[in-house]
Amino acid sequence: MPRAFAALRRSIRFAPPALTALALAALPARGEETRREAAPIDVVVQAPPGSVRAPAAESTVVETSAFAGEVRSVAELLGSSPGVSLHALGGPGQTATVSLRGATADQSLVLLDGIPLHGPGGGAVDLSTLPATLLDRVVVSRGVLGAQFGAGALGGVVELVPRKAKVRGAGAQLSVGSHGTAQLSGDIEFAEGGASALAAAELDTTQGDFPYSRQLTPEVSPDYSDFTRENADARRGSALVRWAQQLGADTELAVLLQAGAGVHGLPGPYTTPTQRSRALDQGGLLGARLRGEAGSAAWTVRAWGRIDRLELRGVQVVEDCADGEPSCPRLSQRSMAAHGEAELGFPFGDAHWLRVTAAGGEEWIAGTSTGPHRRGVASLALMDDVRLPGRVSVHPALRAELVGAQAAVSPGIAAAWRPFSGGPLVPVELRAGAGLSFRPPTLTELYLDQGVVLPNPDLEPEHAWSADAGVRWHGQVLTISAAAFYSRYRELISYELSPPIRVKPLNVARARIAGLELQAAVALPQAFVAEASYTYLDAVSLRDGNQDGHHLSYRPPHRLFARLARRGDRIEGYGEASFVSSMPRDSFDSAKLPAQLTLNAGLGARVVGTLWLDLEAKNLLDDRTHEDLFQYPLPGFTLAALARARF
Amino acid sequence: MRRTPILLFALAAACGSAQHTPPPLNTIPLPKGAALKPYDAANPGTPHPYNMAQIGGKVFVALGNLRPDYSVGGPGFLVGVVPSQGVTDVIDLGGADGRQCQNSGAVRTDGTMLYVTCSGDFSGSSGRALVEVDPAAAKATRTRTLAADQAPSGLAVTANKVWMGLSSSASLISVDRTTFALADGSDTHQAIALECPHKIYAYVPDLLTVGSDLYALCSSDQAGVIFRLDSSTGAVRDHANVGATPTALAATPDGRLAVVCSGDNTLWIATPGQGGTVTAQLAHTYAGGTATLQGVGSSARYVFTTASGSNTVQKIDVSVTPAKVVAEASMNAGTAPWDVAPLNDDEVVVSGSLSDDLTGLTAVDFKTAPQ
Repeated sequence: MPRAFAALRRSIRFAPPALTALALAALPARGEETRREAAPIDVVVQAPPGSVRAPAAESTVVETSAFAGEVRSVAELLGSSPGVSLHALGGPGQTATVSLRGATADQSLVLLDGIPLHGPGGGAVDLSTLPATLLDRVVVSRGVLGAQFGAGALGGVVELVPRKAKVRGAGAQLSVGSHGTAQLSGDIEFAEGGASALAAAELDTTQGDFPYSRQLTPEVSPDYSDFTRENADARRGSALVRWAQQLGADTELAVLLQAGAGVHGLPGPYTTPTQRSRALDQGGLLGARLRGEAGSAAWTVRAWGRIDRLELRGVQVVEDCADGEPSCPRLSQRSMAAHGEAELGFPFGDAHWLRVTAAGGEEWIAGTSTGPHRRGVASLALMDDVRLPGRVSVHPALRAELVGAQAAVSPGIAAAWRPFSGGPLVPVELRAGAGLSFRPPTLTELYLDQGVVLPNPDLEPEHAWSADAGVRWHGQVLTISAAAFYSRYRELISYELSPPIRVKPLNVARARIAGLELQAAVALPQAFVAEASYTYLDAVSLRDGNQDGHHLSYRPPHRLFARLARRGDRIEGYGEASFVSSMPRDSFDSAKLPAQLTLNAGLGARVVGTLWLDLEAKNLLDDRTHEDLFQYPLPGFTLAALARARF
Repeated sequence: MRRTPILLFALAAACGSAQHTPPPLNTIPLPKGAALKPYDAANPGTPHPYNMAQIGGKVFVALGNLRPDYSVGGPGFLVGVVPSQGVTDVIDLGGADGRQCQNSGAVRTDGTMLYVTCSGDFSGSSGRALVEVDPAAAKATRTRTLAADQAPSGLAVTANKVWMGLSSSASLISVDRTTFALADGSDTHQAIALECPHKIYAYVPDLLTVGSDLYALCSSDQAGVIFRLDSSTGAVRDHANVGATPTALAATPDGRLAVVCSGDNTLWIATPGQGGTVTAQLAHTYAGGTATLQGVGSSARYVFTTASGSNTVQKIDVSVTPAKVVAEASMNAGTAPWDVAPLNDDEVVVSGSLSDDLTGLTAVDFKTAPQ
C-alpha cells in the first residue's frame, strides 16, 4: 500500500479528538487507572478528526473517560457538544432524545458501532436505553450526511463507539444517589496476542420521585407550588460483549453483542399525570465484522441484526387506564432488522482513496396498533478521500438508496484545508461541506393506527440540504472551532389535525434552519481542562399560512455549555454550567418555555490503590421549575456518591 | 308585619341577586357506568362532558360518552344540573336504537328549547344528528339525522333556523326550526361555504347568534377567521382574521365578541361595525404556562376562559385595553377544563373533558391578580 494512503487511513481511523489530545498533554502520570484507559494511540493528524465515515464533517468527539467519576447518561455526554439539542421526559430512566442542528430527533441517526439504532417503528432513539458506561467515546457529526451514513441523517449523526479490550483487567463502579437512584457496572477485559475480549454490564434503578414546582395560576401569579413526581421509577439492565480475533496477518474478525431490558413508569405531563402507565422494553443487536487487506486495498464485510420489543401497559391516547381491564389492552410492538454490508477501499491514482459500499437488508414491524409490515433496504455508495497539494483534502460521496418503494440519491462533499505549512498558524484548518439527503417515513408514521392517530401509507420522504463552513485551531494546548450552517427542509412530515380530534401525518411543512456553533477547549496548568461550547439556532417555519415566518417550537435559540475539570492522580473534580435560552413552545412564537440554567459539580479522590470515591451534585441551584417537552418536569438538586476501581 | 318583608326586599336588592343563589357544588358528579347505557358493558364509555348552556336556572351539559380510545361507548346524553344541588335531568339523545345521536358535543338554547349537535363516531359514519330538547319535559323532542359528511361541531339558534358548522369543511348547514328538515345543506340548498384559507383542513368550531347576525369561526391549517353572516340567509357580510386555531366565541358584556385561540394562546375581541362589518383585535396573549385554550363564556361583567392544557380558568376584564386577567383558578391535574358557564361575576361551572364531572368554582377558588 502506498505510504501516503496508509497514513491517511490510519489518521482517519485513529485521529484522536481534540479533548483527548489536550487531556493527554495536560496530564501528569495518573496512576495505574489512567495508564490503562489512555492506551497509546499513534497520532497522525493528516486528516480532520471526527468520524471515520464522514471526514471533514463538522464534528465533536466526546471521550467517556473524561467523565470518569461522574454519573453520566448518554444524553448528558452529548450535552457538551455544540449543535445538540437534548430533550428528556423527566429524570434518569425516562425517555431522552437528541436532535442535531434543529432537526427533529428522528432526523438524526444514532449508531452503535456503526449499526443504526431506531425506536420500534423507526422513530427517534431513546437514549435512556443506552448505557453510557459501556461506551468508549461518542462522535457527533453535524450536517446533512446521508451520503456518508445513509437515509435519515438530516441533522447529523451520533456514533456511539463501544469500549473494546485494551489490556487484561477488570473494573467496577457503584453509584447511589438521590431519589432512589443507583447504578452498578462492571467489566472484564482480556487482550493478548491476536485476540481480545470485553464483557461489560450495567444495572440502573431509580425511584424517580423527585420534587418539582409548577405555576398553578400563571396568568396572575409567578408563584410556584411544590409537587412530587409519581410513577417515574425505572429499572434497566444492559450488557455488552465484544470479541476480536486476528485471523491472519491482515485479517480480523470482530463480534459485538449488546442487549438490554428495562421497565419504567410513564408519568405523563404534570397537567395530565398517568400514574398507571408503564413501558417494558427489551432489545439487542448482534454484529460481526470481518476486515482485512489485500495488496493496497482494504475490505470489510459486515452483518448485523437487531430486535426490539416495546410493550405499553395502562396507556391510552390521553389518559392512563387500568392494565388488565377489557377497555385497556396492552399495546405491543416488535421490530427487527437484518443487514449486510461490504466495503472495499482502494487507491486510485496518487491522490484518491476510494471506498465503495454496497448494503442491503430488511426491516420488520409487528404491533397491536400497526399490524405486520416489512420493507427492504438497499444502498450503493461511493466515497472518495482526495489529497490535493497544499494540504487540502476533499471528501465527495454519493449514495443511491432504496427504502421500500422509495428511492433517492444523496450527494455530499466536505473539504478541509490547512493553509499554513509552517509558523505559528500551522494549527489553523478551514473546512466546508454540503449535503443533500432524505428521511423515509418510519413504519410507525406509515402504519400506526390508534383511533385518534391515523396512519398514512402514502407518505413521501422528507428532504433536506445544508451547507456549512468553519475554521478550527488545533494546537497542543488550545483547540477552537467555529462553524456556520444553513439548512432547508421540505416535505416535512407533520401530524396535522383531522377535525374534529384525529391527527394524521402529512408531508406539509417546510423550514429553514441556520446556526452558529462555537467550541473551545484549553489545557490549563495543574491538570485542569476548560471547555465551552455555544450554539445559536434560528429555526424558522416556511410553511404557508399563519405559521410562516414563526420559529419552530422547542428549538432553543441559544445554548451555552461551560466546564472546568481536573483529572489528577489523586484528586479530580469538575464544575459545569449549562444554559438553555427561552424557546418557543408553540408554532406561533406566542408561548415560551422559560430559560434554564443548570450548574453541576463533582469532586473525587483516589483513596487507596485504584479505588476512587466521588461525590457529585447536579442542579446546584435546586431549580425545580425546569421542564422539557410537553410539560414534563426535570429534577431539582440531586446528589450522588460514586466508587470505582480497576483491577 | 309589613315592614319586615319590605326591609328584606331592600336588603336583597342592595346585595344583589347573586347573594340569593346558593353557590355551586365544588364537584358535580355526572352519570357513569350503566347510567350511560353502554353498548358493551365490558367496555363502557365515560361522560366526557363538553359544552354547556344555561336555561331556567339549570346548566345543561352535553356528554360525549366516549371510551378511553375516543370510540363511542353509548348514546349521546344531555344532562341538566342545578349547580348548587347536582344532576336533575339525564336525557338520552340516542333515540329508539340508542345510536341516532352519538358523541354529543355542542349545545345552545334560544331561551325555550335546547339544541344539541352529535358529531357521531369518529371512526364510523353513524350518530351524526341535531337533537331538539325540551328542558321543561327533560326529553328529546325531535332529531334530525345528518349525513356522514355532515358531522356538526358548533351551532347557533336563530328564530327560524338552527345553524351548524361542520367539522369536515368550512361550511355551514341549517335545520328549519318549524319542519326540522335540513335547509341549507340539503339537496336543494347548498351549504354555506366560508372562504377560509387552507390547504389541509378547515372546519367551523363554533357559532353564535347576536341579534340578526350570525357569527362563525373558521379554523384551518393556515388561518383563523371570524365571519359575520346574515342569520336568516347565511350570506357573508364581512370577516376578520383572528389568532391561530380559534376554538370558541362568546358575546362580551359590552356587546362585542370574545374569541379564544388555542394555537397561539391568544384572546381576540371582535367588534361589529355599521353596515355589517366586523373587525378583530388581539386583546391578550396568555402566559407561557397557559396551554390549549378551549372555552369562553361571559357574565355580566367579565369574560371567563378555560385552558385544558394547563387546567386553568381565567376571569378577564375586556373593558380595558389590553384585556386584563383579574383572577385565575387552578383545577386538578387531569381535569382538562373544556367549557365554562358563568353563573355570575364570581361563580362558574366548568366541564372537564377528562374529569368526567363538573366543577363549581366560586370566588374563593379564584386567585386575584395583584393590582
